[in-house]
Amino acid sequence: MLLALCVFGVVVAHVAIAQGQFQLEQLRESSAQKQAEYDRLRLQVAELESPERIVADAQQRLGMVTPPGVTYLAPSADEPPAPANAAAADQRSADAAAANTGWSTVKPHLADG
Amino acid sequence: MTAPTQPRTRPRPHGPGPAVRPSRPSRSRPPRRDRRAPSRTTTRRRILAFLVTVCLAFGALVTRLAMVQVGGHARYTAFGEQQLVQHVRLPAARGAIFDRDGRELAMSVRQTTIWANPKQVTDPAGEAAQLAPVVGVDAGALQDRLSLDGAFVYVARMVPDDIAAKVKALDLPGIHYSEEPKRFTPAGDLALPVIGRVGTDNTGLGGIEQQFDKLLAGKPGEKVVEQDPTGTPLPDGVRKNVPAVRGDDLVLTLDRSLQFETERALSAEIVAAKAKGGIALVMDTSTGEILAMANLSAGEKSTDPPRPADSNLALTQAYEPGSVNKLITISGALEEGVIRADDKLLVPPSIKVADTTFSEHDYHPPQQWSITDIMANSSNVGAITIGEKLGKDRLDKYLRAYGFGSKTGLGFPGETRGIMIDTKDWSGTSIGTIPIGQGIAVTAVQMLAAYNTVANGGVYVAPKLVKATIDEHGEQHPTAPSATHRVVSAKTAHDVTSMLDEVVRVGTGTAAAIDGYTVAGKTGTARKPLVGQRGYKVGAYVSSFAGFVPAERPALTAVVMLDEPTPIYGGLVAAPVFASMMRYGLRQLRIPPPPLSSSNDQLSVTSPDAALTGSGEPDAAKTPLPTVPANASTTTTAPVSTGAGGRGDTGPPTTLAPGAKPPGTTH
Repeated sequence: MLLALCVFGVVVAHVAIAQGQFQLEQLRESSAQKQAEYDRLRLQVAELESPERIVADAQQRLGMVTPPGVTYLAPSADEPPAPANAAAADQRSADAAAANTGWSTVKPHLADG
Repeated sequence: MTAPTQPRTRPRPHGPGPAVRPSRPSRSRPPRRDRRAPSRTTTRRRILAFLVTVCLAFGALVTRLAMVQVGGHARYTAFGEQQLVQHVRLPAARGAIFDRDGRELAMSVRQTTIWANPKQVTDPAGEAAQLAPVVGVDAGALQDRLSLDGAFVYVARMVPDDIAAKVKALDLPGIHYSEEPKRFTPAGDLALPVIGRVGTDNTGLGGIEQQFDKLLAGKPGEKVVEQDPTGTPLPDGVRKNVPAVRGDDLVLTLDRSLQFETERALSAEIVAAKAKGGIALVMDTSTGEILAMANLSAGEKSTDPPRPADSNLALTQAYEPGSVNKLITISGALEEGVIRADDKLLVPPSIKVADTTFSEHDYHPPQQWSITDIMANSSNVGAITIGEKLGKDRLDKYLRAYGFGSKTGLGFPGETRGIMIDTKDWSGTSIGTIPIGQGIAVTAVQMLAAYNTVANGGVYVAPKLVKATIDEHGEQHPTAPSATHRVVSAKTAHDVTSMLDEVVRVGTGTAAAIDGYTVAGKTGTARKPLVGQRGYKVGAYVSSFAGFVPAERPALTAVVMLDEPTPIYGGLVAAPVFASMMRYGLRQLRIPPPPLSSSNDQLSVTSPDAALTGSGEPDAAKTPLPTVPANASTTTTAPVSTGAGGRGDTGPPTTLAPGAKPPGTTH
């Protein structure tokens, strides 16, 4: 009787393992599909953001043109000196910080292949 | 094997046992004659024969069993494993290549590969006819492949999802699917010669893809699973599972937007000047990081737009630089004290070196020119005179200190070190040609680094193309800062910068001017050597411009080179490209103009050596500079433009006289 129960227990355990294995495979497959979909969407975003496409769209679809020149307005020397360098440096460091932040949001999604 | 026979006359046993078939009526078969019972000897012989036969058969079986179990153990085990076990290679995802702000320049996405097992294909002709139009291959060729005697042929590799879906919808027997990573460049051909290509087997074939192939490729994994005869994996049958390791990502120093604008400006000039091709580079002055690296070749037909060059010519192609090389000659002479910044030299219209006479581009009588005049007018005779004063050993020393004759350290595939002749091999005329940039060959990146040295106050900063790597956990690892070494003193660099200012303000490079900024730079128009022969190709020039901006506090250094343009002058074809891409770069990187030093909204450019003399080289308008007293020292002001600037129209404050002659050699 005890032997029969043991055999039955082994069989049940084996069935449970098999079911788990099957479920794991399904999850892996699903994960791979989602990763592939994520990569495809990343590619799509990158293509949409490409300068060539943006310029072509701006010119052909929106009818925009490249300006013939850029006007620079120089501040009067009577005004308090603008901290141009500091402002630019701040802006660049802010951009760099934003770029670094961007990395942390992008990279966790780059899963193993 | 035969069963032992019973004597036919022997009576069958009675009792329990199989039913005895009733004998047939005697009319159907006549009764046999009784035979005599076999003797005991015969019986014994038969039994013996039977035993021998059985023993032999058993022996054969045992022998065969031994052969299978012992002799063929490995073979049959492998055969069984092959049927039971499947080894699956897990391809590693190739790392992406980003620009400096994390925008994708190259990335891999899994695509469906369609393959067939010809043994399972029932109708090769019919299936080929259905598949061919969907996957875009020739039906006949596909039918041939589907008819092959094998178990695997490709139908189409790495097809887009919509095509894969269409093929799956056909539901053809013997057609199977797998996934492979495919390389994409989302920005199209942008910086393609720099990035390089990846083959169908996911191996880098050129550029950064080839140089960092090991890093990008990652490490493939392996999975060993047990499966049933139909190919279904058995539960709990995974024997081994080594996951693939994704390749590292690369972050380049390139700025995608600036790269695009640089390529656009260069492309427009290649078309306008009917040039064979061109190179344009932009570098972050202080760090040596290359922000844009454009390599374009003219289209096949004159109407075709320029296309990416076959390789990264900025590193793989050496050219004779021409007058942009005068920077090295003059800065070396200043550093060595051979000349001083406020010196004046008598510059005749021509000079004889060994057996060769070198002339100015435009005739002028012998005049006293300052060093700034020589630079601003790109005087060949003046530069040769200074070169002779410096001497070949010291000139060679400075050329090499600026990085000529050595690779840049970028490690780019196919990079050339250029051509530098040992001083012991210099000919008599070398001291005439090398100071003006002929007789040596450099890459565009080498020339960029040379100008960047002056922009950095005399410190050479090695160029840099890779900013960081990102490992599989997403951690960034910045690359080491560029190596540096001092070439000339800060004073020499400052003096040379003042001279380069004058080149753009009133000299040969006025087309490089940018409203609101002070640009320092130098034009070059060099003759092209014949391929495989001595001498130069008639009418063929390489035109260039190299410089940096803002001159007071350099932030960007750039070089533009055009191959065989029309017109030939660097000041006319390369300088405008420089101005165009620098305007964008200054805006994009938010680099402000230098602070104003006067109260009437004007920028002040002070140049004690700015004697506007001579006619050594036609300027951008192909007009010689007017002669003014040689001891004149000027302080000029350029008003800040408040309107459309075009090519930087602040221009020289003096009226330029027309009537320039084409240059004779270089300028």
